[in-house]
Amino acid sequence: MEQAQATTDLEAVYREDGARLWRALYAYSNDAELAFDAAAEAFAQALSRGTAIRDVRSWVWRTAFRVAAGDLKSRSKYAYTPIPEGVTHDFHLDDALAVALQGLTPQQRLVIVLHYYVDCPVGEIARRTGMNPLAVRSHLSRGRQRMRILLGDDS
Amino acid sequence: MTDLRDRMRIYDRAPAPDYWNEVELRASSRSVGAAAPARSARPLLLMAAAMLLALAVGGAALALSRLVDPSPDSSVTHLAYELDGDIYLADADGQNPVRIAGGEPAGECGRGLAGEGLMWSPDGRYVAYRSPWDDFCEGMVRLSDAEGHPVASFPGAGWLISWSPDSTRVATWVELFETVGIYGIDGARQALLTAPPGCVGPGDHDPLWSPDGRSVVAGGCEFPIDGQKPRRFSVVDPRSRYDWAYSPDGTLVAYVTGTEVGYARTASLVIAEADGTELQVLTYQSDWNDPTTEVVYFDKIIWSSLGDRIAFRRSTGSIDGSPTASEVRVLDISSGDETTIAAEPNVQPLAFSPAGDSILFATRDANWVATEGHGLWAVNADGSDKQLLVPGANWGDWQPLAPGS
Repeated sequence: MEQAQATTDLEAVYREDGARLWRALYAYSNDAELAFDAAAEAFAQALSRGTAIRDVRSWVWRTAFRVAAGDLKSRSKYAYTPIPEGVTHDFHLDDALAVALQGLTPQQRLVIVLHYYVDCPVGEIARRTGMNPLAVRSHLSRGRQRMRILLGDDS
Repeated sequence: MTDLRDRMRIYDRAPAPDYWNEVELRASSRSVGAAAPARSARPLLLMAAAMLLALAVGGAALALSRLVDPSPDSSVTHLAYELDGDIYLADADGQNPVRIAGGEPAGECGRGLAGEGLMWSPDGRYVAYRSPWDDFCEGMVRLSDAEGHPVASFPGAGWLISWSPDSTRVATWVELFETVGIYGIDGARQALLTAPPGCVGPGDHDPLWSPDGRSVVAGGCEFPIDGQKPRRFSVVDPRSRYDWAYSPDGTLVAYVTGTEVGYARTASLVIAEADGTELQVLTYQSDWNDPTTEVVYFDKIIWSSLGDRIAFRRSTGSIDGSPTASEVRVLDISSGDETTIAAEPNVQPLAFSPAGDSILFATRDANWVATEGHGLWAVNADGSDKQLLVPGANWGDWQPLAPGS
């Protein structure tokens, strides 16, 4: 019974956050395939763990970004993987934005995406990433400064 | 940066796939004991990542599993540490942990407690830690006794919590970089000290008690506890610098200084009298080899309780300041001998044991994540017998003295 409830709860999180999580991972990694993999893996692990997870939403976000960070780390260089062929969409990446995000450290990029795309305040970023809130503030501040430079907006 | 928020809305239009079927497929494969289905491009790596994640985020029970039989020197009695936003007390080697705080629902500022700096009071009777804070909500400093019972809490922002030398008071920012609060063990505010404009220098500084307990120093600004006007240290005073630390007896200050000659930078670790006189360079490092792409710097200075050794972090990084490698070094002041006791993508010395023979330090991977093999460690001061005490823990501190000792 508890397992069934846990699955139902997780499905609810997926319905609410699944697409947004994938998009945030895509912004973070610039790689649609990697975003798919990390998001699916995080939810699958959560599903396997059932009731053992206290805060499913935060756990899934944290796990997905850790999987994505591990994948990115394994690469020889940062790479761009486009949206797969055959998917109908009108999406055109803001190349300058994507390149600027690449210019951040992984932690800066993570907090910038969560703050400016997912609209998370500092405390929520800490909860979703497992970072110390103080570290979040620091990465956010430095990431913001770096983005201003990289986007040519020094104002 | 409103523009950035608007600009990132472009990702709202990215066509997100429906991946719930993939979720169920992977989960069901594992539940019947079969090998996990290959993940689309990097199955081995991602399986490994899953295993690392289990260690990293699996919570206290998993984190408390011992990989080895750690044995910091016998002068250590207890360890306080933060793991996954909760605060624990444990034996010196991390065994027999008891969660003393955390696990609460998210508050206004979110969830998760943090310990930074020297969590234990100098007499070993109390532990200090923080609840979250940010630009929009007020964090709290919390105190517990050595058994983990809550003692007091009061508002406070910043990072490190500073205990007075006599263990009766705590200093913390009330308004970041503007006002310092002095609080007693009972949580009552004893003083509120306001910085004059320009007194506190740039950077993330926290108030630090002077050895005589008569003032606190933050960002090169000295705040007398008796309410006299704060003053800024002169530029030659080491306490006006970013990275510095008093020796245990308060007579010396160890600090980091850097110079630039042409394209090259040199980082030096120096000790001097507290006023900056009688300085002695203990060690230095130059980046002549590749000065355009790499910088070398020192920080995170801690003294042994006897004042005979200093541990510090030596980092190398890219020109924009992002560290790429770091190590903890221990320097014997009398002989000048330097020993590297740990080298990780991210590593930080936290505390010497009371006898000075062991060091507590924390590690992270290159992404600042406590993946497998990262967490709180103990090592002998000569670099031998390195032991992982608490996998995944963010911060810890050894109890300086057992109450009553």
